[in-house]
Amino acid sequence: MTVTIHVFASLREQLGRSSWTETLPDGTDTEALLRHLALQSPEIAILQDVIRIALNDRWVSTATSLSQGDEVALLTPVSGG
Amino acid sequence: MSNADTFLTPIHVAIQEEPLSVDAIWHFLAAAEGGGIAIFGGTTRRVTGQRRTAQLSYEAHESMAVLEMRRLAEEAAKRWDTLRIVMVHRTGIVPVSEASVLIGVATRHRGPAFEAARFLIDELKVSVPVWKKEHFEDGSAEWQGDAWIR
Repeated sequence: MTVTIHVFASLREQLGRSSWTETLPDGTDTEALLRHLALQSPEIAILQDVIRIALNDRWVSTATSLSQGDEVALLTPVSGG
Repeated sequence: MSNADTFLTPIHVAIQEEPLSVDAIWHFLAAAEGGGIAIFGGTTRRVTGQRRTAQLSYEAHESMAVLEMRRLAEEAAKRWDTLRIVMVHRTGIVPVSEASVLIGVATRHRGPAFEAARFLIDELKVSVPVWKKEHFEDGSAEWQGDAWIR
């Protein structure tokens, strides 16, 4: 399956892109995806413990199975207001 | 007092690059014909600690931010006796003294207006995916919320 990854703000600047696609084995969940991305990217690895994941525009706090076409956002601590 | 008519509370949420208009928000809230309106504005501060800020810039995960603001507004409408709720956040450059966020609540009586507005700005700062970059007068810039990598 293929999912789209989105990043913002400091993580977007560090990675030099705002979104890309990843092809993953069926059954991959959000936590496994984050571990997979951390292995590929030192920028993501260093932030692995503080990144929170949103799946299709909703926060997910536990490992959640991914489906074809899902939109996954890797979000660093927010600072709006 | 809880509000049995949660879904009768009109809610307006938006992410926008244009300057925020207190007049437009007041007009939306006053149409509720209630007894009180509280509006909170978050503005760009000139001095933080020893550093002088030139401007802030904001970036949002827009599609999620509007959903999250609506979720918070619906939660406030369940907890308090609200008539209308508005939450708008600006993105892009926000010069010193201009508003980056406006929160407004119209109610029958003043107490819930203050309480709900406080709840909404506090929760926005925790769960709405928006990020602030501080641009200092000395030419340096840093994303706020990044303390964990310094």
